[in-house]
Amino acid sequence: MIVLDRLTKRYGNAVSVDQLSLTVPTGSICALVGASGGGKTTTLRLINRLIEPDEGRVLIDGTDAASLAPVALRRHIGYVIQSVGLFPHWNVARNIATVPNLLGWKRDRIERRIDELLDLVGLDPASYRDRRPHELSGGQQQRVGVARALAADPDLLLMDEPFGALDPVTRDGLQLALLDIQARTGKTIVIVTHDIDEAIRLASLIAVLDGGRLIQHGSPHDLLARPANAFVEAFVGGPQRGLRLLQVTRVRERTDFGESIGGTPIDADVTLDIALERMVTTGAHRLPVYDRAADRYGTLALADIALRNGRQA
Amino acid sequence: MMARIYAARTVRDVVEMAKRPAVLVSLIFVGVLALLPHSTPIFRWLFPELPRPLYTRATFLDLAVSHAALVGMASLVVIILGIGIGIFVTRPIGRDFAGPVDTLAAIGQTFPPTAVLALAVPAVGYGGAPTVIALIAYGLLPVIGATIAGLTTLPKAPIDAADGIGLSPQGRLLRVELPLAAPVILSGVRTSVILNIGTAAIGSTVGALTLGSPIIEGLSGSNPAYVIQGALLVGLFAVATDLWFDELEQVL
Repeated sequence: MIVLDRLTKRYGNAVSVDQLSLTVPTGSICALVGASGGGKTTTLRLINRLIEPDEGRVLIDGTDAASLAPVALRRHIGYVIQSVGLFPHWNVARNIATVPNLLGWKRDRIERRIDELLDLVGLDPASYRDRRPHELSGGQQQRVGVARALAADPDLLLMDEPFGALDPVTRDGLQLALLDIQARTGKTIVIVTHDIDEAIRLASLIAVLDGGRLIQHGSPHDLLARPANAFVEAFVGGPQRGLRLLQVTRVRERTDFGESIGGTPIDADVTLDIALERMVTTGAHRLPVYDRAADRYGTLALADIALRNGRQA
Repeated sequence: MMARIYAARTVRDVVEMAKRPAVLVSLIFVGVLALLPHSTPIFRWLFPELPRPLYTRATFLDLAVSHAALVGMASLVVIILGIGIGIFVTRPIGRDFAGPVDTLAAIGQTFPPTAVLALAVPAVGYGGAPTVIALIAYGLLPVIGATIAGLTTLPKAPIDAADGIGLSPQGRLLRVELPLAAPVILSGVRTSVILNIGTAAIGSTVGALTLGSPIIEGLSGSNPAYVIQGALLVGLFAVATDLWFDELEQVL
């Protein structure tokens, strides 16, 4: 569990991070979102002490980060940046092995770990191990960047707009890969992004920062359904907010399990945008629903999609 | 039969090797060095009015070895000192010294080498010592300049990543910064060494034994043959060395 406790960082008279408190539960993905200059990156860098706070503390599983040596602390926290920053004079394997080498792992353990990680990030070890960074595409470089960050098996992974420089298709692939990695490893991930769709897709906790202050934090659904103020409302989507809300709401929540109708049911665990898409393409106002977990059938009505929407959800 | 095939292969390898400019010019340099002592007839024919057309005060081999030793010693100091200073002024603790060091090194460069020699002689006497001092003063700027340039123009991403994943400042310097800056630093070392091969020749004005000795003596004694002999060897030495730096840069 990561606890940010009243963190403040000033540069001269400007306050970059202002009395920021936030708790990130173990095993969750937390997205720091907000406009440029809002203090997202500074907050991230305060966690691994690339920047020292003027006030406040960072507790990592109960330990004050300030009580640890910064270099040792960082070796146990994964770090991924938008510009990747692979070491251009080393091949992929050596890049990934950087931290295990620093930690003095045995040769064969490192070799095994490299192959394991390349598999995890979706690159074939045999054909990628010996390549130099300049021989890789942007997406492949960031996959290696993620592998390098995970090399020493840190519990916490910090990512600063990791997919911001990639084209939409590549970004999509890497977001899926990250979700898969998180599901398989249970890492706690703090990710900075200015892309609200990325935050909604990846995070279970979104923290909206503006002017160095935490404006609102909660689940994607919370933020979309009950934005705290106009800034959050504008940030989480403006006119798109309703559509994004569909993306974070499951069919289960709007289904009437009292009645069932015929036809091919849709899964109760898919999100409402998929159900709506099906209604629009098939012209149906009602869809049969199957709840796999409880082995029951129900019905989703078009009217119910809009029913408990918005502020009263 | 087998021996002949091996011999043929060896000959072919040697020919291949000799096609590389660095090897070729080095061979020419060694060849000229070996043949020059036997070239009296050529220079007598070129300069019939000179009673002694070939420099004989020291052997050309001795001159070359001494010349190379002076440059080598000075360059060793220049490389260690220059890279060391360049690293120091680009670290947080040495940042305040960057300006003064730059100025000092620039002064060393603008000082005519003969003036450094003239000033060094009263302090350390005649011979090789003042020459080495002049070469160090003169060769330092390119190396310091290149080291600073190399270390301050590195791509930001790998540095940021190095800090972020937990390299110590020293680890970052040794594993990331210096290897990435190496080509730029090497080009500074190259400039310095080549510059000093030429400058070392002037050391003969204060009694150092160098390939400049025939040149200095030829100039003062109106013997153009000596000047040609010295200049030919200094030139070949400098070009050969420069070409070896080419090879070294390709390895990096």
